[in-house]
Amino acid sequence: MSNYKKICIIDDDAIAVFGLKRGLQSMKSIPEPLIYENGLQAIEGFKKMIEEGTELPSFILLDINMPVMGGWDFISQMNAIWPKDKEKPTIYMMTSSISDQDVEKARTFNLEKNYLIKPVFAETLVRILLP
Amino acid sequence: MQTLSITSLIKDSPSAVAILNTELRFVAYSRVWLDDFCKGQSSLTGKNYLDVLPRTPEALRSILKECLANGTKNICEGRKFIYPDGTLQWLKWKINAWTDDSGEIGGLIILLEDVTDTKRREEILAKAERVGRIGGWEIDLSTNQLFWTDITREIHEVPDDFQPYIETAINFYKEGIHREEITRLISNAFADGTPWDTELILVTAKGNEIWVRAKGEVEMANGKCVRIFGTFQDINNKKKVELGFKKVSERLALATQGAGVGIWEYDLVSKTMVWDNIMFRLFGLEYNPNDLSYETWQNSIHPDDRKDGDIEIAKAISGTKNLDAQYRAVWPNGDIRHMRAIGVTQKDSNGKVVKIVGANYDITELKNTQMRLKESEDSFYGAFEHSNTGMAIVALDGSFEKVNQSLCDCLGYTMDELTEMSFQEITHPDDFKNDVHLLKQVVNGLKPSYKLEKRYIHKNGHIVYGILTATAVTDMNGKVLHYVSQVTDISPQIRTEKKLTRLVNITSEQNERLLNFAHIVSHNLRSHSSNLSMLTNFLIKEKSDEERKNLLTMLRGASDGLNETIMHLNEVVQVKIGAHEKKKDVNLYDTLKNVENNLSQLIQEKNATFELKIPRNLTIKAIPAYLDSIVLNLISNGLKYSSPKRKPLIQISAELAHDAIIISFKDNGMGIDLTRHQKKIFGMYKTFHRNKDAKGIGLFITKNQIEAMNGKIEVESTVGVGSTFKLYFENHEHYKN
Repeated sequence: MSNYKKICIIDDDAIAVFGLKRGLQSMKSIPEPLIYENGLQAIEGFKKMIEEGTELPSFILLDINMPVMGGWDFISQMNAIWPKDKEKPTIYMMTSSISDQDVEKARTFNLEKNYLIKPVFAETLVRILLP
Repeated sequence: MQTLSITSLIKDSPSAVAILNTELRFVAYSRVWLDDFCKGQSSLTGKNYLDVLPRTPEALRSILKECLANGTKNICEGRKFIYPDGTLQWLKWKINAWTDDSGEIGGLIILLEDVTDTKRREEILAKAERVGRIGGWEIDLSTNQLFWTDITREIHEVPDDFQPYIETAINFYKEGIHREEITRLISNAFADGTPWDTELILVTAKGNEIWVRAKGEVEMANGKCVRIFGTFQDINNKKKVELGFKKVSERLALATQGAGVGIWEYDLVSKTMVWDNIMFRLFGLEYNPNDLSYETWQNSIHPDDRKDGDIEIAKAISGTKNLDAQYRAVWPNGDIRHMRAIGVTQKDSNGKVVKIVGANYDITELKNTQMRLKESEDSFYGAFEHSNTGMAIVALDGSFEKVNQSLCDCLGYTMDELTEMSFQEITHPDDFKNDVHLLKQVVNGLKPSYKLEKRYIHKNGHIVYGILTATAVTDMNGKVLHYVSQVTDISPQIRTEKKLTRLVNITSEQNERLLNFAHIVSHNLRSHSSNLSMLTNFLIKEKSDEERKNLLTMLRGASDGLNETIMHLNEVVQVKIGAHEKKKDVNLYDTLKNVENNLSQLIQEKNATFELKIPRNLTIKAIPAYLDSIVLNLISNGLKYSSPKRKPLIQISAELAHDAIIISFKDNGMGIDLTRHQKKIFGMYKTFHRNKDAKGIGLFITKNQIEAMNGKIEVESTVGVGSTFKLYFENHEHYKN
């Protein structure tokens, strides 16, 4: 049983999302994830949840390269709208890039340990989602 | 008888004495009278005085009559008479009336003396005294009184009644050496009778300083001085002339000495040569006036110049011309000095030249200076002609007075063409102001020269890059006569520099593209490969046929994506390769019209307005296919990202800048948030709108294409208002380079 009650995937790559969902389905008692195509869509979705008082995601799988709003911009925006009394979600960055520049950037967000290189398979998800 | 005895007594008198009766007839007379006044007459007794002396002047006749009538006497110490024949006589007399026993006037006793000789001498002396301003004086040693004549008083400028003493007389002499000298001379005279004759300065009673000649003589008796007398002469004018002459001579001597001018004199009759000490020095000889001859001079002359020297002297002697010759003198130690001799001739009463007097001076320094000046001029013109640097002498109005071959070579003109031109004509118009500004500073004396990197125009029109150094040449008063310009042609360096800068730019651009490429590969290709690897992984493990079919469809999508990305990358590579294609003159208006036609359906769908403000004849240097692609992409972007709130408007205009043609594409679309996307806007796979058509490849290709044509692209945008993209194309039409 996972500690995370609400899981969210933000990625514009449909095939990658398919793979992640497939990986999550293989695990028992994992809720169905919320899917957003880019950062801006996710921010808009989160704003709505805050307005309606529904539960915010506690775990986010976030792609770095996306049109309209990429992963890093999303984190900044999310921090700005996140209610102060609510616990911040656990975020894992995902990228197909193998360039060192992206790892460096993750370090500036203290996320260098939460950094996944695509493809992300079920084994990886099990390790990070289950205690 | 008493009368007789008187008569005989009178006869023997040593003076001329005569006794007359009342009728003025001689009663008695002395022999001297007969000798002095009546030579040749035997007896005068009974004869009338006036008959005997018919020349007796009227004045004396009156005196005689008066004395006879009144019984008075008349004494005269001397009186001058001039007779009708012009002869002159001085007479001295003493006339007494005599009375008889009864007291009646019996006649006259006349004592007459002819003092003409004495008086004449006295008169001449007095005249001489006055004319020569010679005064006399005498010391009476018994009273110690001093006697001065009128002239002596005049010289001392004292009144007529002035009574001098020895002390006062001495004090008239000027204090110092003059007074000391006269005191010494007078003391000597008192002591041993030494006479004196000296010239000293006297200060007159009125304070004037005058030169006098004082003479003194002493009469001694028994070894004792009894009388001192002398003369006193005003020699001020003479002395002043003498002193003036002395001063002038000294000054001349000083001048010739200082200027190193030697004076010489050659007597042609006695064949003697006279040199002053400077002459000896000029020839490097010991001062030895006794051993000097014409040969001494001749031997000092350089052997090559001797003949000319002799000719010059001969000409002077014959009177053809005054002597003025230049020659070399050889010193005993071998030194050679350049000399100039000038001289004038003196002729005797027959007009024959007997003497040459002249001056001689050393002109070695002058000669050397002249030679150095010539050498300097020669070396300047030598350097000027043969210099590898372009050189010109430029007149004040900018015209070329003289140019060298190097300058002609670098500007492409012949020497004749260039000397007909001015620097203004060959200066690049953009550099002209700067050059003139600096030139003015030189003209105003603010600086002697200036250095400037400037462009010239070659005869065939291309630009010559040069470094100009212009220096003003001034006269002694600092007035600028002309300029000397030196032009170093640095065109090859500039060309190399430009080529290098371009190479550096290309290299850094290529580096940037390489980085960009690495990024594209790492992100875009890698995302497809990761999908492919993931899907195949699922496929291997999947048992369900239906799910496998689903996975295979996705696998095909992923491989299509990979294919598309590779196609895009290939397009970019093609742009790089295509950059080597030749640019052509492309008519911009036609290009835009063509694109408008191709997009007419989209324009109609969007109900867009298309405004074209481009001159019909504007052409730009471009690769036609790239220009088509760029224009198509920018216009279709403007239509695609139009705002749903307003009717789309696309305006295209052109503007000519200094060295570029700028084409603007302005729309009233959605706009892009540049604060967030400035860096990414021209990157690959960057999309900024939630638009299904957005691929993030168009602007990336556009940027590569415009840069391949040495142009650039810029963007201005405001969200909700619209965007303007500006294309910059190179414009070289101004100058041929």
